[in-house]
Amino acid sequence: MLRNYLKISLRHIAKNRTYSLISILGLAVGIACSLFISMYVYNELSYDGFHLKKDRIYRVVEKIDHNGEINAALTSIAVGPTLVEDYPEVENYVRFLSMGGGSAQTVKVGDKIFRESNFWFTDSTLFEVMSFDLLAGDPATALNAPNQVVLSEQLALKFFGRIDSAMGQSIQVGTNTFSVSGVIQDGPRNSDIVYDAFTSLSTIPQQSMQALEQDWFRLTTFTFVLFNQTIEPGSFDARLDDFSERYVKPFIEPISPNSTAVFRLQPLIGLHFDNSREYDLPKGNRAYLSIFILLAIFILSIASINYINMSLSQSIKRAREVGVRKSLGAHAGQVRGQFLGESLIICFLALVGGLVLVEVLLGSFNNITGKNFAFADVFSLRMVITMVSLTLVVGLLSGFYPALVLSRFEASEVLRGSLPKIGKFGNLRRVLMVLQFAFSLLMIIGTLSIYNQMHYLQHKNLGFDKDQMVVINIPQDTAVYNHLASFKEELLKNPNVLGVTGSGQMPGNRVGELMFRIESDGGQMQEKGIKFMAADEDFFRLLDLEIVEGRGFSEDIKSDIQSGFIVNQTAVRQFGWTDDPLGKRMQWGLIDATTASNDGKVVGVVEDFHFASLHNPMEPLAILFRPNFSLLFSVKLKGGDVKGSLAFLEDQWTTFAGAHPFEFQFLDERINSQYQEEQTLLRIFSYFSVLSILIAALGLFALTSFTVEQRLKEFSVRKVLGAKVMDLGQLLGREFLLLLGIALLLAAPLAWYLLADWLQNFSYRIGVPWGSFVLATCITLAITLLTISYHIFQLARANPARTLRME
Amino acid sequence: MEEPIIRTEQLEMVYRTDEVETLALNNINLSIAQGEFISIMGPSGCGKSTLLNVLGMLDKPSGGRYFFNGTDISQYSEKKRAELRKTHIGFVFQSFNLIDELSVFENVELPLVYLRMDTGARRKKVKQILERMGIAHRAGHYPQQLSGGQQQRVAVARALVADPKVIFADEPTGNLDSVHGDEVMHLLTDLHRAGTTVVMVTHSPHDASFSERTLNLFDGKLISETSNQVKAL
Repeated sequence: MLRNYLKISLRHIAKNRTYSLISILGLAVGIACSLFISMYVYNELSYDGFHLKKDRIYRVVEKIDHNGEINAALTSIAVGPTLVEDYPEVENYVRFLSMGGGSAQTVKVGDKIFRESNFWFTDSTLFEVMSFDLLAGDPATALNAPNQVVLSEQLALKFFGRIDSAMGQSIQVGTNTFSVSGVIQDGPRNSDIVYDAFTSLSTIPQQSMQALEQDWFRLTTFTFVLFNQTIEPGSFDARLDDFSERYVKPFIEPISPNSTAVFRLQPLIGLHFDNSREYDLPKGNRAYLSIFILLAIFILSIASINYINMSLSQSIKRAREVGVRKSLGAHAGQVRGQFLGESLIICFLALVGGLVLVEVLLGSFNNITGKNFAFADVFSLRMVITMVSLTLVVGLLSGFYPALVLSRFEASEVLRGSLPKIGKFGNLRRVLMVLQFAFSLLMIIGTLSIYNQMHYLQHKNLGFDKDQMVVINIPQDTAVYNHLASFKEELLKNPNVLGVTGSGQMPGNRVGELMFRIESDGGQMQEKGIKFMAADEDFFRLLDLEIVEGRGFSEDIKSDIQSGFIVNQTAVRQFGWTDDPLGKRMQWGLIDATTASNDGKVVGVVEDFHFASLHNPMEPLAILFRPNFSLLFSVKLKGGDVKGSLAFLEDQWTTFAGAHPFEFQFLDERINSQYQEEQTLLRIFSYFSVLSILIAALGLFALTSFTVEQRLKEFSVRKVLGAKVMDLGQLLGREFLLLLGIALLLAAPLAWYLLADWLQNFSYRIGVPWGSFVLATCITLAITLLTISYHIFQLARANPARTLRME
Repeated sequence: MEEPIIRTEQLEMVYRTDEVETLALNNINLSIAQGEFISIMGPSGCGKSTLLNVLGMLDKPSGGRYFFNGTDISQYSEKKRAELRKTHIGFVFQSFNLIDELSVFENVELPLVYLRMDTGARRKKVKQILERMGIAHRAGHYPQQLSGGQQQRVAVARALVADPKVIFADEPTGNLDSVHGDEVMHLLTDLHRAGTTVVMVTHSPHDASFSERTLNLFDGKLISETSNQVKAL
């Protein structure tokens, strides 16, 4: 019996190739989305779940209030050991201090130089508290002496080629030399502790360590503690308050009696979704998780509903078969079983299709989510269980209704050739179609609008010249930093180099803020936080910035370094300098109420330019003259042989800096990188647009098939009476255009609202682009017409006499 | 006297829609003996096919009683009727109603599949019946590859394969030319001779002349009954 069902199902699928393919494709898309989202969700939910003692590990966090509240993920350095000392239930601790504060570090290995991030000073207890596996070295001794380093597998291979040959070798990070005492597995993808190397915390010099240990308000350390049993984190609050009273109060009271520090525990499990603390490591987002899950359910439901519509439209063709089976003695249950089975087969074929889609799109998915999934991850036990149950559920759910309808066909009727009526739920089907249209419209409008805004951001005049400009990174530990003037001189010798300017900052990354004291019109001094940049004298000329009042900096006026300031026009306006801004007094490096390390006057006013991203409004800016402290060199190239010019720059760099790697970026790319989040959003919207269009087109196809099958007789009669193909097309299209119209009425206001809200993120933005709405409607309309044209074409070819004879 | 295989008392069939009620069968009393060859005739819409569907247990009568082999089955559920159908009844339709996706062999095999006969026995039986019908050489073909006459032979083979007590034939020659039509009528006559009860709906007096007895239906009522002189073959 089963074989018979299987055979007939497969032959039916093969015979109705177009319909089967469309059904399978729709479900495959739904299944692929669900698989992606399942992978993402499982990964997010499994964060740090691999630690064997995970149920007993807690992170200590510190909230300080010291002239302003900071709710930090970090603590002061002494918290971990002191807790272990004072409370017997706290069994152990491990601390992580970022080396280089998260920015790349220069690492010397022999005569090779690398730039690496994710280096942590860590306690030797790391391997007692957490479950990271060493590939080489002894966990008991790997970090228990100063100047030891445990490298990740990837770094060990990069530095030394082989894991075993790495052991005992030395590397230099900054001024410290470390000996490799272990090689650790690369960080798991589902851990918030992202590392490339752990160095022994005892490397920190005694003197610095003591200073850190005494200051309970220096938030430097991620502190994890291991309890002797699982506890309710809140149950330890009283003891932590007590702890604060005992250690922090005596320290802070003499300095600032109102300042407080509150310590709390956070269980390791669940930490991944806690975004409430400052200075935390990048975290997951529970809202995204919910949105993704909803999206998966939505897409899968739509795909199932489309499949149901499609099977119903096909069921009319199967009516006779049902009749025959019934006349041969099959009862309704057997017929239901057969069609449910068929739906399961379709779903398993769709699963195969879905897996192909996952393989093809995995790269883009990783790109969007920032994850690093491999195709093999799809076949983890959990994922296999997921995909099998998903397929069964979708197969049974979407097969159930068509099977029920088919099994109810009266043999006596269908065998006589009268078509069964399955016209119920017509309105439900229309509502679903409207929803699918509306979703597509929303996505297309979103994509087009985000694209418009991105285009605007990338092409807006920023007020300076950003073209053909290479920005070279000059770390302070390179020889170049100490020979800025001669490096510049060498670069300028090349005729393709039009100019060079050294500066502390350049547009494209965050510009810092310093506390200044400025003279107001009335002559009194007031304190103000002001954005600042440090630059040499060529800065203005090279970026094509006009000095609108006064003068630029000059190498010849030595006092500029200590006492020359150039401000932008917005500063002049906002500081209320209605009379001459030139000569206004400014101070920074404030020492006490009146004195400052730098005390000088405004020597020039520069025209406004967008030194920060266009998310921000124009703000006051102070530019300081610092020709000898340039962390960046910006080199203006002549067009043409850019490759050759870059090779020249690198050559010169190597001459000065030796093995230190040459790091550079084009200024326009650097500026565009400020809009990475929007780029990702644009990508997500583009994918979902394509997906939603595909699904809506499938839905439309199914619904049209259904309508055509149901109204076949009507169409045939009309044709016999002289209706032309266009007349039939109009008849068929009218209803769908109406549905599209309703969808537009639903989607447009929502899209407008969401877009207006999103555009608020930018100080410089386009208006809500109505063109996108029109274009989106046209795209959807075109796809609608294209989809139904298949059926119109079929109708045109059909011989009405045959249809009518069948009746 | 032996209990007739089919007997009805005041059999009624009413079709209801929202507005109209149609009495398709009105007070039908008939009796068909085991082994008889009966034809049912009448103008279009007189209820011939309805009667055949009720007698063939595809439809449940709205009123009256229907005794099959002595048992009143007029109140049987669809499931029980299906059980009875698959063991006792075979159908031959005007439009053959073969399943396009199945080969000749598989189509004929289908009733045995529903009877859950084991594979070996099933194959043997199908082979026998195909040979008997003279279409064994077409076993691997699909319905659309056969002529109308051949398709109807397959349909008859399918109706016969499970050794039913009664064969119901609804205009079995309606879609065939006269040569193929006669072929099918001879087949039915052979079956009848072999002891199978045959109940056939037809328009054609020629076809009816093959049967022993003709029941004439008009407006849902049984109006007369004629006895035929069975054709000598």
